[in-house]
Parts: sequence; structure tokens; C-alpha cells
Amino acid sequence: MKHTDSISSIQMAIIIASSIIGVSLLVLPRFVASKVGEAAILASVVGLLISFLSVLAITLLGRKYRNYTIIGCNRLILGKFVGNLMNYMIILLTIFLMGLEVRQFSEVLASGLLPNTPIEISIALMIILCALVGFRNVSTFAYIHTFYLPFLLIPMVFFILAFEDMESYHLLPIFGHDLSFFEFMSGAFEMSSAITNFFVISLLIPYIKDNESMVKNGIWGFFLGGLAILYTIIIALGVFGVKELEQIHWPALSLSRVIEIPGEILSRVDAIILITWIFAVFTTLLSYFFVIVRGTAEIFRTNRFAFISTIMIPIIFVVALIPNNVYEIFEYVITIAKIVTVLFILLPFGLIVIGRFRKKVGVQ
Amino acid sequence: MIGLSPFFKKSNHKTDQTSIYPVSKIVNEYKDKQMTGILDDNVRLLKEIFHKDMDYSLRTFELFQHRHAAIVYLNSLVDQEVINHDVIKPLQHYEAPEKEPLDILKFLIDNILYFNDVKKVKDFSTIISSIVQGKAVVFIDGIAEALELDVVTKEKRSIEEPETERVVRGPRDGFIEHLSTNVALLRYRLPIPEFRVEESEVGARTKTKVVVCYIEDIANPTLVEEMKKRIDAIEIDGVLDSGYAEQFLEDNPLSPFPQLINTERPTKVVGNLLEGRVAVMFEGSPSALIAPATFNQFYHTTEDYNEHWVISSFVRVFRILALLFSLTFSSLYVTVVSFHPELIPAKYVVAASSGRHSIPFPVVLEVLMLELAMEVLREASVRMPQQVGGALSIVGVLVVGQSAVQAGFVSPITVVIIGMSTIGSFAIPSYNAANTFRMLRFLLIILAGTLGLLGLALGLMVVVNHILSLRSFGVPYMDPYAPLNMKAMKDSIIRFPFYKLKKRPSNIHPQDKTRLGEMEKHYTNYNFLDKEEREKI
Amino acid sequence: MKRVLLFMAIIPILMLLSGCWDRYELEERAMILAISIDVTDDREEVEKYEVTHSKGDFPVREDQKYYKLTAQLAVPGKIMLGPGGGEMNSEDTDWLLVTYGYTMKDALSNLQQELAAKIYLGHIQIIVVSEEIAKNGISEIMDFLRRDYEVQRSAWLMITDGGEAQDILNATPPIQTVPSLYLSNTLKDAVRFGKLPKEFLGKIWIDFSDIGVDAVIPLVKSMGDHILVHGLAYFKGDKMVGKLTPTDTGAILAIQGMNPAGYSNVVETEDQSGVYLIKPQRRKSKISVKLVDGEPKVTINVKIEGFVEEQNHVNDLSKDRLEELEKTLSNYGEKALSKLMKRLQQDESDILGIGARVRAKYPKYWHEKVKDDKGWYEVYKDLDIQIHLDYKIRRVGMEWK
Repeated sequence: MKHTDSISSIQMAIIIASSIIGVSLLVLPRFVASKVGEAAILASVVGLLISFLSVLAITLLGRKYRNYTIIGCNRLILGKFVGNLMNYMIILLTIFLMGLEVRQFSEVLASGLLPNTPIEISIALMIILCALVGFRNVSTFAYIHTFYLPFLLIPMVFFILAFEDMESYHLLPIFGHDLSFFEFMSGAFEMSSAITNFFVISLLIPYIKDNESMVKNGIWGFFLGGLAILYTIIIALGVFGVKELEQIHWPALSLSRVIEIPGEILSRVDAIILITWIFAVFTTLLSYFFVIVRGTAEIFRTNRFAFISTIMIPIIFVVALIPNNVYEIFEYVITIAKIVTVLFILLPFGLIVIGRFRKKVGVQ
Repeated sequence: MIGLSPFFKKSNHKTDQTSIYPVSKIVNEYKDKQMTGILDDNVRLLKEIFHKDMDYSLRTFELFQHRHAAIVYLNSLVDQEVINHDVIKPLQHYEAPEKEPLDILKFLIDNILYFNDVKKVKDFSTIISSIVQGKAVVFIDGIAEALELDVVTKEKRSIEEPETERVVRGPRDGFIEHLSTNVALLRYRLPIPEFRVEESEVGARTKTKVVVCYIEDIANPTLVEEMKKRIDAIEIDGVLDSGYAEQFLEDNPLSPFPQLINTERPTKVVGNLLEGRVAVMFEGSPSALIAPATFNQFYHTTEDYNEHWVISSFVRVFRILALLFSLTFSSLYVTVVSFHPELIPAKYVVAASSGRHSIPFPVVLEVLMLELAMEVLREASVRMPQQVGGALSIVGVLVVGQSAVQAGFVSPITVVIIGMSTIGSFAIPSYNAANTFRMLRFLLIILAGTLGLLGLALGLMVVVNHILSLRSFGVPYMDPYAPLNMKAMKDSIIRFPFYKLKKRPSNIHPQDKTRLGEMEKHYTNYNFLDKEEREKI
Repeated sequence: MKRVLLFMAIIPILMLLSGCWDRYELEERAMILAISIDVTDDREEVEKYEVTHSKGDFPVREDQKYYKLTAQLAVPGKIMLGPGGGEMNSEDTDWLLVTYGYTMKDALSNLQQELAAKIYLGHIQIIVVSEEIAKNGISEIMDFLRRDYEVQRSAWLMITDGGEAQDILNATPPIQTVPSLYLSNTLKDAVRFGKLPKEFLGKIWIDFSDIGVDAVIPLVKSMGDHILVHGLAYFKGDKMVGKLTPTDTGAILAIQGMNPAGYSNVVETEDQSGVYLIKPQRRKSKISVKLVDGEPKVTINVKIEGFVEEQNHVNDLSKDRLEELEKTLSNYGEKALSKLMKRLQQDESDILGIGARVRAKYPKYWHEKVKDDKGWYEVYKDLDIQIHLDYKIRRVGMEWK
């Protein structure tokens, strides 16, 4: 592990935040509201807390085994066979997640922006764009996230202009109507699975310079991204209400169309929000790709990142084209995202426990 | 900090350099030939090489009234006055001493020659090299050594303001082609013993003199070492201008972005040296190179530090806007008109569509054509002689623009957009950066023309990602934005007042971190006023 | 390996050059600026198109409606930016086309057959619907508008007050711009001046979807070459059940606490000496719902601040006079508002969203007693709504007396 190529834990926090804000931002209000109605806000908060466990888990694991990525940790603590099995699973799941996320992205484009452009083109271009970023340098990866994050957050300020269109009766009652605990939790869980993208940091642990502040910074980074999403959900719910939200395909997109800045030229904000959303998707996809390429490289103990990137492009492309229509996409996404969420809560905690049990010490 | 080398070593370059490619064949031939004591033999050897040259001069004379001697030089390079007055005259005049000294040459050097740059030479390869470099060689019959005198003189122009880096307020001297003058311009601004000017040579056939300048107690020694190493590693026939060498010194030669600052202004060089950077200057080139460079160079000028900080900050913001404009304006226009007309406010969309009604070309082609025309015009106006050049720009704009609109080839809005983006590119202080953005503009236009908003976003992302992955001598290019270096942000877009800029930018890891002492921010004691007036304040 | 990567990047880019799929130049789009939808009995017209179906193959329902769609297109080349426009009437700048169809999309497909350029709905400013359609249920037309990505949520929906919707599109004011732009500006400015609530298309959809709220849609009437904004039409579910005059609109806006206020109020002094026109300037309202004995009770508190605009027949304003006016106005206003609310209750149209508030505040009650919209209408009919109006007159203009 070259320590000249390092990132600070503040940059790690930024990576978490910008990875969280991604494709899911567009559909999440509908997802959660369909499940739990007006309790969407509370459910999202609970969902945030569930994901928070995952952040804690990963950063605590990282603090203990500060020279190992999660791949290394798996191998170290669970032994070669089981460890590698977990590693393969992680990589496979990430490949699926990435493929589906690209697909969702092109679906939005195809329905709302560029209807005649074949989705294969937009999928391919996006994947290739991710691959063109060399993965040799972790600091470049961090810089990219650092640079794009303000562009992701600033347009969210525009959503404030929608305040005046919000109605209080859309947001109450807080506990929803006649919800069973199970329904509530499943809504919360939807939220968690949508923001599970931050697990990229589990592969960055050895490169983080100031390991001691990792947990602290990880927390605020997570909340930065999570609160941005929560904010969007609240405004979307307030403006549209549950019933309308259930109808709209992509609430955040429609939200941006509702907003009007006084003054003629910039009266349509949705172009700006669209561009920044493309950036947001890119950063999320980049995180996934980073996991895939670097994870694979580490499993096979090689350094040939460019080679792996090139191989992965057609694989992800094929995965992206698996679902047949928009409904199938969401089915796949929900299932896989849920698996990943659970995995990244149980796995790090499990590793810590087993590690202590097996008295494996992380090399200082 | 010093030991931990944060500077990126170029991995694909040999670092230990022993070959001196390419070697002059003639010099090689005569490498082992030694001088004899016979004057005629020596002179004949030289004549064999140079007899075809118009400027080869040979002057024989008598030393100590009885020894034959000869001075050989190329008269186009030497200062004849000096040779006549300071070399031949004293040698001819000197009365022969009673007893001839044993070491005549030493005697000549110590007592007779007024000259300040004299050396003894023995082998022919050195003699030949010296003659071609403008030195004069004195042969004395009976002595198997020769004297080499540096009498070289060069024509130089006067110091004037550099054309491409104008300022409103500030000194107006600029570098010229003569290296010593350039060094002089720096020396008088840094009259401290820590200012180092290390010499080197580059270019096998041009043998261009290079100097590496730095301030010893500020610049990081690793940086200086790296720079010197890279210069030594350059293996090329000739370096005619600093630009040739710049392409060898870059970290990423494939990138269109400039990774070293180049400037013709001494104030800029000195300012950067004071921040801990290293400057490289070449004989024969008025441009100095400064490393490491970051993105900030694109919109910083020396004038920013001359003016009040609020004004400078404003102007910097405008420059960045100009930069963004020149890059994205045309492609935004293409995107909006061809792909997403819903972004045009309703009031204008009908009128805009009418304006385009008679135009035969799609917007992409129209924009590309106009951009190409603009580029051709720009290039033409640079090459044109002064008298015609001024008129050409006016003629170009009026004739091309107006007539094209009248003829119905292009719509007036397009002309406005293209004009604005071109002017925007001229507002960028760094000329080579402006070029880069102009070229990238085409990429963005094509992408926007095929994929609309997605194309524009993709193009922007490609450019941004590329910039973020650049390093200049190991320093991240987008410093201070990318590594989030909050201290260095004080002098990026907004320039904080001087009393806040206590530390030097840390991305280049200078040794001496503080540049300001303790100072008062405002002055509150008006001792020059008498007591009553002081109480009024 | 990097080279292979770059190569792979070039291939899609080359493919890009072969086709810019979505590039439609501005002048290649047929920009529809306004649509009007009427019902028609003319089955012949509808069936003569065979664009989405073969003759007689359309799955017709029993109560199938036949729609007549009129589209107003912008004529390119007629409107110039900047000087050079010259004498121009807005009737030269637009082009009206009429088609028929079984549904919205059917009609539009038929329209496309008649046009060279691709239809572009991104700049639709207004959609006019005839009263007949509104009375019979408006949601059928809505689906297409919602699903299409080009249609902006900020367009305006209007209902004609008698007559055909097409007449509205025929209004061509002598102004140098496309008529529909002028019409949409009329509505937008009406909102700005407080004459209409901000019920653009998006809001209407939200109100339709929401449980316990009913929508209001602006009502317009054709006046030859321009239009008259004639108040609001209020709905129960997706059917129109009544109309509100402009004054009523002002009252509703007052109850909702909207600023600025658009409509003046007339008041006469007790001794019938003077007639005053008072303009409200700032309004605040609070709608509170309480559950009393298992039944919801609504209290609406409205506070209005106004100033005297006009004084007729007398000339003696003073503090006492103002107090008198305020009292009269408050009483009168309360009565008028109550009457209005009663009317709405009778027609079972809950445009204030009281149902939604009840549902939000007392979910348990809602689930047990009310359950859905239908149940709410029953409760709403007999709801006890108390209105308190507090009118304060602050200023009297440039004249002291």
C-alpha cells in the first residue's frame, strides 16, 4: 500500500455524501410514499438510521484493521475460502447494482429527455466514461468526488423555492394511516437500500491518512448525503402529496419542473437540475466501478486496472440490458439493494466480532 | 516534510544520463588529437574544418617580439573591438622580459591580458567547440597549449512590454532573448544571496544554455532536484524556444492543458519564486517556464496583487465566467435550440424559431461553421502584418458576420453567441490555456449536437475528470479545490487582503512557510496630527 | 490497455456521428401553443381517420365521447425578434387546425398526419376544455397530458363558460404576439394581481389526486377578440358542479389567505348615506379543524387589512366612520362567506381542502367514520363551518376626508 497516494478522512466523508446522492434521488419519494404514505418522512429517518449502522460498522472495522480493505479483511478473518467467497459475492452484487443503476439512468433519459436515442448508447457512454477515469490513483478518485459535490448540493437549494407550494396536509399525519409496524419498517428499509452506495469506502480504508477521525468524519459525510435526500423527499411529499406521488414516475424531476425562478431567462430550473443529476449519477456509478475494478484487482492480486476496467465494460453493459421493462428494473433493484444493505451491516460487524474471537490483530 | 518526496517522478524516463546524444562528428574525430607545439600545424588543422566559412578569421602576430602567435575566431560571433583592444594590443605591446617565464601562458593570464574570462585548453575537441561558441583561441608557437578567451557578443533588442501579457498597472519590462539580461532583470528584484541561478545545457546541436532559478531557503529541494533531473534528461537535437523543452518537462505530455506556467514578465517569475516555485529560462527565448503549475494560473495575473482585493476578486470571478463561457456557450446554444426548446422562455421561442426559419443548416453545422471561420480569422489576424491586421479584424467581423446574416446562411443569434464565446476566450490571461479551451469547445459542440444535454454533460465530465487527474510535478492540478486545501483558498478565486495571506501556498511544500510578519491591519495612531485633531478622530 | 479503452470509447462516438437521433431543429418542430377540447356528435369526422386503428376497429365504449381538438400552432417566420416586425396582427401569427378523435392521443395522431413537422407540446401555454366535458368528468383527458413528458406542469387549464372551447382560441387581440401567449399571460398576471388562485395544470393534478380536496379551474368567456376571466369552476371529484363569480373567487382567496388581494369590496354605511369601495391589501386566514363529540367542527378566522379606494355620495371619513365601516364590512363579509360555504357544501365540493386537513389531523376518525372521498362528502354536506371575519381599514388613500 503506497502511502504517498492517500486521501484524508474528510475526503472520505465527501465520497460517502456524493455516492449517496445518485439515481435513487429521482424515484425515492415515490417508493417510500407508496409503501407508507404520509409516514414517509419518519420512515426515511428510520431508514437513515438503519444505514447509519452500516456506516458505523464499516468505519469501526476500518479503524481496527487500518491496512486492509474489506476484501483483505474477509480473507484475513474468515480464512481464504470463505473470505474469497464473500469477496466474489460483493463484486458480483456490485456489478449488478451498477448495471441496474445505469439502466435506470438511461430510462429516465429515454422517457424524459432524449426519447429517440437508443438506450444502449447512453448506457455504453456512461460506463465508458467511468472506465476512462484511471483507477491507479486513489487521490484522483477523491478529487472527482470533492469537485462534483458542490454541484450536487447547490441545486438542492433551488428546491427551497418550492416551499410555497407545499401543503401542510400533505405532510401530516406523521405516522401515516393505519400502518402496521411491518409496513413502516419495510418502507424504512426501502430508504436504506436506496442509499447503500457508500460502501465504496470499505475499499478505501488503507489509503486514509488520518484513521482516527475516520469514524467521526464518516458520520457527518453520511448525514450530509442522507439529509440531502431526506430534504428532497420532504419537499416532494409536501408539494405533491401521497396520491400524486404514487402516480408520478420520477417525482424529483417533476418537482424541478414546478419550480420557477422569477425572471425570464432562468425560469426553467429543470435543465440545471438535470445536469447536476447526471453528475450525481456519474459519481455514484464511479464509486461502484471503483469497487468492482479495485476489488477484482485485489482478489486476483494484480495491478492491471486498465485491463480489468476494459473487461468489465461489456459485462456491465449486458447486465444493464437484462430487465425488459421499467417495472422489472425496479423489482431487480429492490431485491439486490436489500441484499447489499443487509450484507454491509452484518458483514463488518461480523468481521469485528469474529476477528476479536480469532484474535487477529490488524497490522499497525 | 522534506524527506517525504511528494513529487511525482516521471516513471517513463531514464534518470541517469551518461550519453550525450547526438555527438558532433567532427568533435568526435578530433577527440584524441592533441596539440603540438608547432603553430602552423595547429592552425592548419583548424583551417581544414573552417576554410569554407566566410566568418573564419585568422590573425597572426608576434608575441614578445619574437614568438609567432595566432588568434583564431569566428568574426560573426566575436566582439572585434575587444579582440583588437584587449587581446592583440596588450600581447603585441608587451616588452619581452629579460628572461622568458617558464609558463608563458600563465604569465600572460596573470600579467598581461586584461581579459576576465581566460582558460587554458589542450585538446582539439574543446578548441573546436569553443571556436563555434564564439570564443577566440590564441596559439603560440612552441607551446602545446592554447588560450581560450570568451569574447562572444550578441545582438539584442531593447526591453519592451510583452505583447501577450498586458497589464494596466504594473511594471512593463519583459524578458528578451538574451539570457544574461533576463537574469539581470530577476537579480535586481531579488538582491539576496539565497537566489540561485544554476546553469545547464540542453539541446545537442543548439547547445542552449539553461538556467534553473529558485530561492534556496523557500523552494523545496526535492522540487529543484526533480527539475534539474528532468532538464538533464532531455535528449533532443535543438531547443529553439522554451516551448520545446516544456513538452519534455511535463508530467502528462498527452494532455492539452499546460502544466507549466510560461510568462515573459519578470514580476510574475519573481512572484512565483517567492511562493516557492522554480523557474527555468533558456538562452534565445523570452519565455520563462515556472513549475509547478495549477489551474489557478488560468485566471490569475500579477495585476491582481497590485489592486485592491475586492476589485481583484471581482475581476477574477469575471475571468472564470469568461473561461466557462468560452467553453460552453456555443454548445449550450446548440443543446437548447436543437434538443430542448422547452428551456427557452415562451416569449422568445416563437421569435427564435422564426429567426431560424430561413436558415438551411441545422444549428450544429451553423455553429461549427462559424467557429471554424472565427478560428481562421483569428489565425489570419495573427499572421498579418500590422498595417493590414487591424483592418482585417473589423472587416472580418463586419463582412463575414453581417453578410452571412443577410444572405441567410446564419441567424443573427448564432453570430452573437459565437462572438461572445470568442471574446470570452480572449479574456483568459493565459494564452495557451485559452487555446486549449478553444479546442475543447469543438469537442463539446459536437457532443452536444449529437446527444443534447447528455452530450454536453458527458463532455464536461470528460474534461473535468481529465483536469482532476493531472499532476504538475506531483502537485494536483486543481489545487486548492480538489484536495480542499482551505488555507490556499484564500488566494484562489477571491483574493483576501494581504494581511490575511500570511502563509505561502502549501501545495508546493515550501520550506519557509510564512511570508508576512506581524503587522497592524489598520492604522489608528495618527502621530503626525496634533492633539485636538487626534481626538476628533 | 489504456489504448484499447480509448478505442472502445471512439466506437460509440463514431456511432454518434451516424445519427443524432433526437435532434429536431427548432424550425422542424410544429409548436403547438394552445389546445382546445370540445365534444362533438360528429361521428363521421371521427371515424374518417385511420391513423391509430383501422376503420371501425377502435374499441368503443357505450358512453364513448368524440373529441374535437383544435390546436393553435405558431407560424414560423412571422414574428421577428427586434425591430422589423412592422404592422402585424396576431391573427397572422398563428394557425388553427381542427381534428377529431376518440381520445386525446388519437386526435393528436390524426393531427400529426396533417403536419409536416413533428408536433411539439413543450410550449403548450393553455388548454381549454369545454364546459360540457368538465361537467361529465375531466380525468379522461388528463392521462395523456400527464404521461407525455413534454407537457409542462406550468401550463394553464381553462374551462369555457358556455360556448365552444374553440372560440377561445379564435380570440386574436391586436397585439404583436401569438394569441395563446397573450392568453396565458392574462392568467399569469391574474394570479399576480390576486384575481385567481395559482391553479396551474400541475396543481390541478395534485388536487385531483389528493383525498379530501377538490380542484378549481379558471373559467373564461370569449369576448370576440379577447377573453374575460370569469371566475372559477369548482369540482367534485373530476366533475364540474358549479361556478364561482369573480367576487366569490375573491372570497375564496380571502379564506385561503392569499395575497395580494384582487377584488374590492363594496360596503354601504348603516344610514345608507355613503357607498364605499374598500380594497383589501393583506389577508391572513387560519382554518382550524377540531373534533368535537366525534364530529369535526371547522373554524375559519380571516383577518383582512384594507384601504379605502372610493367614496361615493358623502365626503366625511373619520376614525368613527372607519370603525363603522369595519364593523359593517365584517358582518356583511361573514354572512357572504358563510353563504358561499353553504353553497359549496351543498354542491359537495371541498375546495378548501378541509377533508384533507381532517384526514391529516385526525387519522383515526377518518379511518373509522369516513374512509374515503365518498364518505367525506356525506360528512362535508352537514359540516359545521364557522367563519369569523375581522376587517380592518388602515388607510384612505391620498385624500384625508
